[in-house]
Amino acid sequence: MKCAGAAPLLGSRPGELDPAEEAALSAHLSTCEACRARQADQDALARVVENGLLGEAARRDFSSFADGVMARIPASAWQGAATPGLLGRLLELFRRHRVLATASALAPALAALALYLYIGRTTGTGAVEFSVEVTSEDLAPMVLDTSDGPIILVGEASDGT
Amino acid sequence: MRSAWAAAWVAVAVLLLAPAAAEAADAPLPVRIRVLHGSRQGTPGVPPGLEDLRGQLSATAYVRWEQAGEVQASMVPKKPVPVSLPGGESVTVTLIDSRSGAATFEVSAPSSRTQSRVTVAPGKRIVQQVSAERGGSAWFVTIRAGG
Repeated sequence: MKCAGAAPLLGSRPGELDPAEEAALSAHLSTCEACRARQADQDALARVVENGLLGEAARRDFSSFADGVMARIPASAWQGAATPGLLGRLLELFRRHRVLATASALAPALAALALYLYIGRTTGTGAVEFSVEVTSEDLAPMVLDTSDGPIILVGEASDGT
Repeated sequence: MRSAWAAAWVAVAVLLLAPAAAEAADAPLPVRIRVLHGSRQGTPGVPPGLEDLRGQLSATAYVRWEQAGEVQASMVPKKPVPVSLPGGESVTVTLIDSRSGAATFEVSAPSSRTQSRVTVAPGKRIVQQVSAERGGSAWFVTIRAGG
């Protein structure tokens, strides 16, 4: 292979050449310094272009790409001919995402239950600090309120003994 | 889909009914009852074993305290527990109810012809004088649900 035959093959991508072309090009490059230099130039150019394209792509914001595509699709194309109501769409959503729907139904129920139990427990201990009823036939009971609980005093014996 | 919803509702129903079922069981309530002797005279002091009661005891005019006995019982509603006082007298403590996060006790002290019905929240203690004061001293019982 001569330089004129090797020139079109320089800069080919991996796998682009058949085995015979690849072997001939390799044999030519091993003996031709000028073609090796062109090959090196083309490789360097390819890397520069690749990095430039990747950088340009990275600067673009694709976050709204999917929404934009969906917005351009007519609603009838994916919702069917008749547009269902809110309940229909909700049921369809539940049909598609069963586990998610079950979890989303359970989550507020469990949260409400936890709140109910918490409120019941706190009001149970807070509201009923204590209540006292004392009856005595001949003493005068007295109740003291402390933070630890009630103290019931009945006083002194009337006979003074 | 239906089975998932059914399981979800069963779980919610079980969670809602579990506390009620537990309360309805009327499980025995561990109760600690201590017999104390309080005096207006003498060197003021609360023994180490009564430190947890210091806040309540210091609210009274009695300054010297001693523990004379203790009963620890697993009480069930309506079943009286006798508590002996030194000198042969006794009082009875009856658990009336222990639902709704509070316990109601009835204390009957024949010697002072006094009867009380007290409802306290968990963690609170009842301190009750169960004998009339004589010579500047009297007998007390303290009741704490939960041992």
